[in-house]
Amino acid sequence: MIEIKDLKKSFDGFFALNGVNVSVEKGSVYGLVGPNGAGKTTLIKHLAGIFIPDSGSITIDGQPVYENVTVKSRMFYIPDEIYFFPQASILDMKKYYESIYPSFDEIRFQKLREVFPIDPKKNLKRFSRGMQKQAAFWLGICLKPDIMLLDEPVDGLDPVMRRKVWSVLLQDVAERGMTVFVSSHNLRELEDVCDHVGIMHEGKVILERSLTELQSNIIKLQVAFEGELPEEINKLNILNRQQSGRIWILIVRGDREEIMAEINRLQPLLVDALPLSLEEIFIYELGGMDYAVKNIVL
Amino acid sequence: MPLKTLSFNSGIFKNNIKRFWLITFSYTFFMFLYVMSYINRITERMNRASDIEVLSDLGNIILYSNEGMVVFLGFYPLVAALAVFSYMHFQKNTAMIHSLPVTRSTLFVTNYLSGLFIAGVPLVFNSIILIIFETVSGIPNLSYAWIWFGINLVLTFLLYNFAVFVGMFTGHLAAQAIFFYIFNFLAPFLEAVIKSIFNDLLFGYVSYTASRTFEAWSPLYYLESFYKGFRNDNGNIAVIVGYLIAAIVFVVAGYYLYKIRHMEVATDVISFSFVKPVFKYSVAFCSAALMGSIIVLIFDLYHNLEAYIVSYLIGSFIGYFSAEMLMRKTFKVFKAYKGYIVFALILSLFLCSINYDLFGYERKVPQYSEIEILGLNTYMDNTMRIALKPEEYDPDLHRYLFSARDYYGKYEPPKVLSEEHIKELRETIPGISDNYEVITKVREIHSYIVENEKLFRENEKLYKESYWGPTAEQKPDLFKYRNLYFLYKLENGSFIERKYDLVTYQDNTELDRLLREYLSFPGVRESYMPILKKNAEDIHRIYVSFETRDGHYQDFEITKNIQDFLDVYKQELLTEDPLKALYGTSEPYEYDINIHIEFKSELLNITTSHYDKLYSHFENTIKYLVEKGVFKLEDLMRYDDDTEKVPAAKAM
Repeated sequence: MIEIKDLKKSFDGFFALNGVNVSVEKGSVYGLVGPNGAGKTTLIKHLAGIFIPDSGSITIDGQPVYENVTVKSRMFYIPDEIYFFPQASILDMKKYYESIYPSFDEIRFQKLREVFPIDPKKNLKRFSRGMQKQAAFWLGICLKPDIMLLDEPVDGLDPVMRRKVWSVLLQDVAERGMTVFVSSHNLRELEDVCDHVGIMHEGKVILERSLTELQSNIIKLQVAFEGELPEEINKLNILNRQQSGRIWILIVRGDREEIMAEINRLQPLLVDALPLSLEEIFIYELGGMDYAVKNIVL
Repeated sequence: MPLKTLSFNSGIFKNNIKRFWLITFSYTFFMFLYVMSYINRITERMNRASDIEVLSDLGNIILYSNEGMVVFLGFYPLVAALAVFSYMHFQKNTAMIHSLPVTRSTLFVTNYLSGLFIAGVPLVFNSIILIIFETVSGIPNLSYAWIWFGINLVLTFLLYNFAVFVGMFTGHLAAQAIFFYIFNFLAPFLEAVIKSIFNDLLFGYVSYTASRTFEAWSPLYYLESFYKGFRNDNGNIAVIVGYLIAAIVFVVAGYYLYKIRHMEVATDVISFSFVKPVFKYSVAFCSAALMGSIIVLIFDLYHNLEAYIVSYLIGSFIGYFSAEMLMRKTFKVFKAYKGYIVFALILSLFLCSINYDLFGYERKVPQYSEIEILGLNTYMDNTMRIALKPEEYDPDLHRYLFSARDYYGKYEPPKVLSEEHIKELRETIPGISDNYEVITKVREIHSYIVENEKLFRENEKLYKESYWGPTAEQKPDLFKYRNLYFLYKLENGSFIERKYDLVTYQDNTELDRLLREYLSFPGVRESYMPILKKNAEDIHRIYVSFETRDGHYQDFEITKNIQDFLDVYKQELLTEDPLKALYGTSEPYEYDINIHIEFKSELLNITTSHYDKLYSHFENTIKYLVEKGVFKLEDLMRYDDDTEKVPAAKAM
């Protein structure tokens, strides 16, 4: 279990992380979302043991991560921008990782040749960004880590390869109980794979729930009333409202059944609860943080 | 660094060696060429010399030429350090390396050792070749090859460790290399700058005092002296020990800095915030010194405090804000002006304190009671320094003092000067005296100079203007250069020395008067003009050379009646202005007749001859030479009618 408590990190007086608290269960896929500059990459680099925190703690199964070889040998980090040694091929990098990670699985490596159609003898610097990502996943999966840290993992991968990669990763999650901690801007994709989501904003995790819980806590309603919207509807915690003729689209936070009972009490002509995507949740949650989508007139 | 915390990762080590093989290979190859060129030289010499002793000496040739080693040692240890720790300077590289399950200790130790291997193997390999060659070819003394190996090993260790240490303070590859070279030459640079400021603003400052003090702080700069010392079997072991200690300090400090280094500093010029102010103000000072000196030089602003301050402030302004820009990675740094103002004030105060002699350096003229012995000459006389400060004697540097001939390195000057040597030096070298009257007069001259600094500065200005100034009326031949160097050995064993490059003007001859009085004391003039105290028995040879009407020069050696010639010649020398003994003269002459008198020398090889022209006023000497049939005046080339041949330069 990953436990981050009150983690703080500043760069030249600016707090990139300002009291982050995160808790990730073993065997879960935890998605970290947030606007640019929210501190996602900084957080992952702390988790990977690269950065020294100013204060706070990061533990895995109760053990601190920083300078802990035992803990770090159970993790693998794939950054957004991958580094391979100049002139190195996948086979060279494999040899390097084998010398450092005793858990490297040669059989897996051979099996995954089918998944990753890239030449392991070719110089990695000649590969495209997407192919380098494939190489990183290929090597990372062969290490059989307990925790996979991914920063914008599928950027550069084509849709088929994305599916393949996630399929292999989720197989490890299911079979070996691997934990995946992933940061991404691709919310549509996270929605498909994550079971837990944390939303970061200005160096803090402002919301951390299971995806199901998150989706059930905010409802998108399509309603129509005889005449104007009744005054009593403002008793609900409405995050956003849009009007199209007599039809209103309301984003309401709260218990689904209580909200529906309240709306029905107001005798609407039409009421319909629509599914809410992770992207919509992200936008409406951050709307309250002064990060709403606004119409810009140029 | 407790050993139990250190560990080593062979995978990383092998990977480093594999990745950076080209560095090792190229270093080995170029050093091999260097060693082969030595082997070629030694083989050639061996074919000519079979003497066992000469063969033994051939071994030290490896320590003669060192330009190649300066290049190697100044380049490859740095390249090795840059290579193995290069990942620290790039965000994605450092992220990859530090996410691995390896502790920082292991990373540092493994990378450090792989770099040392890369930089050290070429030296070890080539040293083995060298030693094998010398053994096989029968050179009986292999110790110089071992010394060569030992010195270079220590320097490799030192420079590599230093390059690693410097790398910890920056997150930028280029900055690591630049810092490495800057720090390698910083001590001599700062010494030169400070001396240049003192030399220009401090009246009487002697700039070469302890000029070798900081050499050892710059190993690459010091290498030549370092090699030379060991070649002459008096190598400086203390420096070797110092370098080893420094190397160990660098590596231990580097280790601890690496442990606490924040890896997000990759690409930053300075990686530790506590170093930032040091960096900023150091750059400001170095830039002030460098650019300030250049501006002063280009616009000829010497001795001008205001111009000095402005020039140095311009330099420091550029340095200070450039450092800010580098650290903040932006051009918008002028909000940090407060720090610059403080720095500018301190710098200006520093320059003012020198110029206005806040510490009393310029005004200091030692009291008679303080002085044990002194020396006065027109130039900074190294031999005088040795005579008064025998502890500065270096057999290698000062072997020229002794008359014995240096042949094939067989002759060895004394390791230390004996009492006899010191006595003879003091008696032979001009201007040395412990006589009460002489010391009092020298003090009077010195005090006069100190009290009239303004006058001499003004004369110098007028002299320059008379040469270069657009409205000049004065002629340069109205001025005289009166350079003087004072060296006092005090009773307490310390020394005071001053050097003045003075210019006097025709209506100010007080200094000349004082100098004439000084020269009138018994033995003083003779010490500057030793011919005055020489007799026939002291003379080795006397030559008279003259130009005949057909344009040829002829030499004539006086072998008979030497004392007669000396009596006539010395009598006329004594009628000249005594100042000639100090500053010489250049007067009109009718015939080009020159006198060259060689003295017999015994222990020391100084003041061994007298050379002068027979000017027109040497009537009796010329007459004597005519009478003795050395030449006939009608056979000599006349110069007085031919304006083109009359010497143009006068009097300076």
